[in-house]
Amino acid sequence: MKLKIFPVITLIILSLWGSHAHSVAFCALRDPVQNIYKLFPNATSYRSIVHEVNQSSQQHVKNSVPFSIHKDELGQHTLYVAMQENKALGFVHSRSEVGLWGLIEIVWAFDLHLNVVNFNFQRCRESSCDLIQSSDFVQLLKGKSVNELKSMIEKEDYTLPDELANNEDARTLAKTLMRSAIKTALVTEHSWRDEIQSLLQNNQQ
Amino acid sequence: MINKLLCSLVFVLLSFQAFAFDSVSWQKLNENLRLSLDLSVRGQYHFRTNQLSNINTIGIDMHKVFSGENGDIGTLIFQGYLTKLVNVKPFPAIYNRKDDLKFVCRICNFNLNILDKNLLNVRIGHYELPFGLEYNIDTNGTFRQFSNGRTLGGKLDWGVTANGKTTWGGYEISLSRGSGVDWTDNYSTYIVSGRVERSLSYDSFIGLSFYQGHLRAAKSDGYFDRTRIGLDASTPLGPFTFLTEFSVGKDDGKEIISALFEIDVHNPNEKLLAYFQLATLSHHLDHQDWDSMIQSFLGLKFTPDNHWTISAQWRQDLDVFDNSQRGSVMEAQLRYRF
Repeated sequence: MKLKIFPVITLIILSLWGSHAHSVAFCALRDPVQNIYKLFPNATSYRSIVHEVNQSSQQHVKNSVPFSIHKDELGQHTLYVAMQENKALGFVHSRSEVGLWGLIEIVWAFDLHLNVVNFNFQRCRESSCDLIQSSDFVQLLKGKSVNELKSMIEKEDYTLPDELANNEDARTLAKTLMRSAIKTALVTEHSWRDEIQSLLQNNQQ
Repeated sequence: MINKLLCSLVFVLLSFQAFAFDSVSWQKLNENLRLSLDLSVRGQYHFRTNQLSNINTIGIDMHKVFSGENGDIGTLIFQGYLTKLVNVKPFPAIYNRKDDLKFVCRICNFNLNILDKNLLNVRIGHYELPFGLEYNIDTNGTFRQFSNGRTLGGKLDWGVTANGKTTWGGYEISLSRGSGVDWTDNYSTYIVSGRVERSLSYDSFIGLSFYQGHLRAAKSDGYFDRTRIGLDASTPLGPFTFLTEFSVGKDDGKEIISALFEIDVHNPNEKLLAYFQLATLSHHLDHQDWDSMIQSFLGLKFTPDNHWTISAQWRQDLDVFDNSQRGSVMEAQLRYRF
């Protein structure tokens, strides 16, 4: 009897397998290297921590704010710890939002208490990204915690720079960014809780 | 000579790794590990010959970041795929027959961080040669391909590279064996290649590549020298992306010019991608006219979720080399990762 090697091996591997889904081949993964050093200019290296962002993280966001992360955002993600020698300076975490012409990938920088330090666009096809990046918009978010950002959005207690206030696309993107900052901080807090605690303790010593 | 140099480099790198790893706390093996099983079924129909064929693959895709207290040490990528051809005529050069079964290590390398701020890393293993658009866009196991297969004869090789990123862009310089997909016992070949990239904005870049190789001829026991210089670029406009690459060079005395232009478009959540490519390859020997081939590719890719990818492509020869016949191929593929 002629042995059908290919289907046999396929069936054996399938029966033993148990893992999570990833639609993109891993050779396509790129660390946001340039943005890590732009957002933390004093960093000399970074440390990756890969964790699962799962339904529990999604629920955590849902419980905190009236919006949440999409199911396509579940799966393994990397939190980058910006390092200066052996000292942790803060976190870098990139998340995607659906924009007018495609996904907008935003690279967020947080301090060790998850207050916003800065952000940059890794991918963006909209002219309003340039407008936002060149404006003082980031000053609205700098140093803000999740609760402060939530309050800002709920009470509409913020004033956009004129060049953004007069542009509808820029206003929409500004709101998207504020929501993204909140979601990213909440997901980071929930999925990387142990590592954050450990880094805080190490930095206090 | 080149291979002795490669072996020495491997030894030095392994010694360095042993030294570096000694000073960090080892993590559990599954930390920072991504692992996926990748299955695909591809069907092809050749209109001229009325021939049906298919290619089935099952593979393991692994990505592991090794980290220490002071930062990441390096990244290991292993993509091992078992590939089964069924009635594939003509079959790609890496296979032995139309119904071959073969294990292929697509990308299997370790990239070791050497200098702060990722200014210098050293990659060792099996990797995509740093040349052209291929460098930035993953095309392994997909219909969408760029020029490297056509103009360089392949896109993978075993060797060592120096690579890095800066605020203005990045670079990768490679010294490889010239053996392609397989690790052969022929130590007479080599390839030196490299690419420098300038990032222009969030989604735009321009790249300059070079390639110098001493390679074994496909259909004889002889050897030949291959040189190329290439320029590539990508820029978006709304939902469209324009990509192009152009290279000139020689295969011994034969002059070669290659060009590719792509326009693609996707929907806002990027689950649906459509692309159109025009690719040309021209060559000429002294005292002979230029001879050219032109191909067009029209493709669709749909990624409904994190598991499935459904894609299709129509490849049409618009012009072919002398003594060749025009072909037209319709292809479809179902891919599942979990």
